[in-house]
Amino acid sequence: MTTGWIWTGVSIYVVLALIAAVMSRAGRSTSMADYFLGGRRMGGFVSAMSYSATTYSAFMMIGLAGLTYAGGVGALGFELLYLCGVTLVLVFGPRFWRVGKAFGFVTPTEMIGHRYASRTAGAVTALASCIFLIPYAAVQLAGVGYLLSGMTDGAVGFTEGTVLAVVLALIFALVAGLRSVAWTDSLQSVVMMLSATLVVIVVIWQLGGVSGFFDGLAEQPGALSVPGEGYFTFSTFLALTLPWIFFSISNPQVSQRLFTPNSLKDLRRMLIGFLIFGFIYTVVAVLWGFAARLEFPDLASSDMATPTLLGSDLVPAPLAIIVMIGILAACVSTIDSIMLTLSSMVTRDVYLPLSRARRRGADADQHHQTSPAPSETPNDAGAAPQRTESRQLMLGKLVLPVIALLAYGFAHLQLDLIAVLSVSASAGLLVMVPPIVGAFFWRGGTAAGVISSVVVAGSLVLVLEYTGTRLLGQGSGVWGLLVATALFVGVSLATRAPRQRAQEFIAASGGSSRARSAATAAPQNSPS
Amino acid sequence: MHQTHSPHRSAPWLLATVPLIMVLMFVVPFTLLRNVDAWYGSLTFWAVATMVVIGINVVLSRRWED
Repeated sequence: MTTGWIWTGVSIYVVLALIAAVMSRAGRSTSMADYFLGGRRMGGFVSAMSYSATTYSAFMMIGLAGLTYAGGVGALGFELLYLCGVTLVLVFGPRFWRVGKAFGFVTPTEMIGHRYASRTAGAVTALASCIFLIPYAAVQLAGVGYLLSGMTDGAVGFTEGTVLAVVLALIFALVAGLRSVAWTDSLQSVVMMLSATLVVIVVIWQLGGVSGFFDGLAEQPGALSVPGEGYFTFSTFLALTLPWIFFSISNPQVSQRLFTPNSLKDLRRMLIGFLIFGFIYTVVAVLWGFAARLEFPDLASSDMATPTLLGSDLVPAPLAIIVMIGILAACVSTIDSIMLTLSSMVTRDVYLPLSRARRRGADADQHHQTSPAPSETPNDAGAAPQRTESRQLMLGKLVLPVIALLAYGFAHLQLDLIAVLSVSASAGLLVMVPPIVGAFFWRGGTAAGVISSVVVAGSLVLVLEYTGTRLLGQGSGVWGLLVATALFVGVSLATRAPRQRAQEFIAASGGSSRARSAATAAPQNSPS
Repeated sequence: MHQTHSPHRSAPWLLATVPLIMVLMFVVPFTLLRNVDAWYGSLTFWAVATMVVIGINVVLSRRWED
C-alpha cells in the first residue's frame, strides 16, 4: 500500500467528516448544555452510533485484535463481559437521564457534587477523571501512530499519525461541540462496521473458509480455550475484565452521554443499538486477531497484528485503506469525546466553584452587604445569567487544546501493549463506582466518603500501576474497587449525610410525581 | 411526563439473571470448558451468553417511555 494512496484516503475522510461536522451545527451554541450535551436533544440512532464510536476505537481493532493474537479466545470473553456490563445502563440510564433533566447537570461529576451537597466532591472526582482519562486518550493517539506507521512500513511515522489525530479531534470538537462529534462519529461507525466485517469475510475466505479457519486455529493448542497457552490466567482475566464491566458508569465520557438523548425512547435506541453494534464489532475484532495469528505468527509486538494484516496481500488495498481510515476516525472520535467531557468537567466542576469562591471572597472584602448571596447549589448555573454561561463555554473551548496537548505528550511514551495501558486508566476510574451507585441507592452516602474513597483508592491504583505490583496476584482495579467501596461506606457511616438532598435526588431519579416537585424545589431549599 | 416503569421493578428476576450469567461467563470457561479447545467451547458459550443478555436488555427496556 503506497503512502500516496493512504494520504488520499485520509484527505477524503477529512473532507467528508468536516462536511458532517459543519452540517451538524444548529445555530450558535450559547449554553454549556447546548454545546456539551447537544441541547439534550440527541436522537437514538446518532446517540447509538456515537456511543459506539466513543467506546470502540484503537482499543478494539488494534488492542483487542492484539490481545487475541497474544492470548487467544480469552480476549473475546473479556470484551463480551464488558458488553454485558453495559446492562448497568438499564438500571442507571433512566436515572441519569431524569436527574440530568431535572437538575440541569452537564457533567456526571457535577451530579456527584450536587447529590452529596459538596462542590469539593465534584471537583475531586473531576480532577481524578482527568488524571485517569488523559492517559486513556493517549492510548487512542498511540493507536493512530501504530496504525499508520505499521501500514506504511514506517513511511508515515508515529509522530505524524498522532499529530493528525490530535488536530482532527480538536477541529471536530470545536466546530459544534457534541453535535459535530456525534455526527462525525455516526458517519465513521457505519463505515467502520461495514468495512471491518467485509475484511474479515474476505480474509477468512482466503484462509480456506470458516472450516479452514477453525481447523487452522485447532492446530494451535490453547487458542480456543482459557487459560489456553497461559496468557489468560483467571486473575489476569479478572483484572482486565472488572474495570470494563463498570465502564458504562465509571467513565464520564460515556456516562455523560446518558444526559443527552431527547427522550427515554431515544435512550433505549442508544442502548440496544450500541449492544448490537458492540457484539458484531467484538466478534469481528477477535476473528481479525485470530486471522493475524494464523497468517503472521511471529510478530514482534501483538499491537502490530492489525496493521500487518491490513498491509498484507490478504486484504485488497482499497478495502484496507477504508478500514484504516475507519480506525483512524474511531481513534479521533474517542479522543474528541474525552476532550469534550474533560473540558466540561474542568470548567463546570473545578473552575466555576473556584471563581464563585473567589467572587464571594472579593464581595466579603468590599462589604457588599446589599448584593444577593451567590447561590450554593452546583446546579444553579442553569439559572445563571447568559453572560456567565458564555464565559463558561469560552473557557471550556480554551481547555480543549490543553487537554489535547497533554494526551499528545502521554502518547509519545509509546508503551508496548495498548490494551493494558487502556485498562489501567479504566481501573483508576473504577473508584468512582461506589459514589455513583450510592448516589442513587443509598441515602447514607456522604461527601467525605466520596472524597476519601476517590483520593485514597485512586492513589492506590496509581501506585500499584506505577510499581507494577499485583497484591495477592490481583490487578490494581480489583484493589481499587474494594478499597473505594470500604472507604465510601465506612467514612459515610462515620459522617453526617445530606438526607434531604439525597431524598430529593433519589425521588427525581425515579421519575415520580413527588420527584418533579422535589426537583423544582431543589435549587431553593437544598443545603450545600 | 416521566411516568415510566422501572425495569428492575417490573421484572426483578429477569434483571437478576444478568449478573448470574456474567458469573457463569467467568467460571464456566475456566472450569467446564477448560479443555475444550474448539469453536464449540468457550467461544460459543461466551457468544450465546452475550446474546441472551442483549435479549434481556431488549425486553426490560421495552417499557421505557416519556
